[in-house]
Amino acid sequence: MKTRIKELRARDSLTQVDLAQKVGVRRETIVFLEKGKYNPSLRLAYDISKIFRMKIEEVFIME
Amino acid sequence: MNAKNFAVTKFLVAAIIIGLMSFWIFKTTKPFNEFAYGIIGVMLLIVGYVIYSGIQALRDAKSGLNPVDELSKTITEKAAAIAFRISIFMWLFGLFALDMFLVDSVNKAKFVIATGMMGMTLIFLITRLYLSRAGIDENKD
Repeated sequence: MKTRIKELRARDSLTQVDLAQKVGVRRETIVFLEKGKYNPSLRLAYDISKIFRMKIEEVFIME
Repeated sequence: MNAKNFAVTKFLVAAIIIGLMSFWIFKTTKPFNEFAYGIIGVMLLIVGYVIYSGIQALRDAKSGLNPVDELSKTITEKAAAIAFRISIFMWLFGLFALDMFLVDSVNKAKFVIATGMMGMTLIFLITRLYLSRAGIDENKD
């Protein structure tokens, strides 16, 4: 699974810590999500997509 | 549990381990052998890890981050599962190895239990540290 988190963070000028604070996780979780080394729960995927005002499938792309 | 309470719990656990270890070291009448030093070394590693994770939790608390999230819980669960699976073989090997070396029957039980507990803890710590660095790539399954 690929994610567009890094690109969307840059668009919204958010740091990894900012995003982590907004969705209530550790910074490492955002790092692993960006690297594609962790598949988030539906709840976390929903929360992240909501921060970027996008649909889940627009942020997380299944290959 | 908030981040500060989580960190305080970690430091409390470290203090309890150090306290119990000091009690054992100062109260024992038997001279220490290599095995005892090995156990003390592993215990110090555990204390170091607990203190390190407590400091990490305090740092997270200062940054307004949650020190226990879904990834850290998943990593802990996965590390525990891997440690359990490996330890089954480790216990078996330990029992087999004990039959090969001469250990008197009084110390045999102590030796097996202490080695097993320390081994399981070490495997858990190493696995947890590895997964914390490498992440959990479920796409590979």
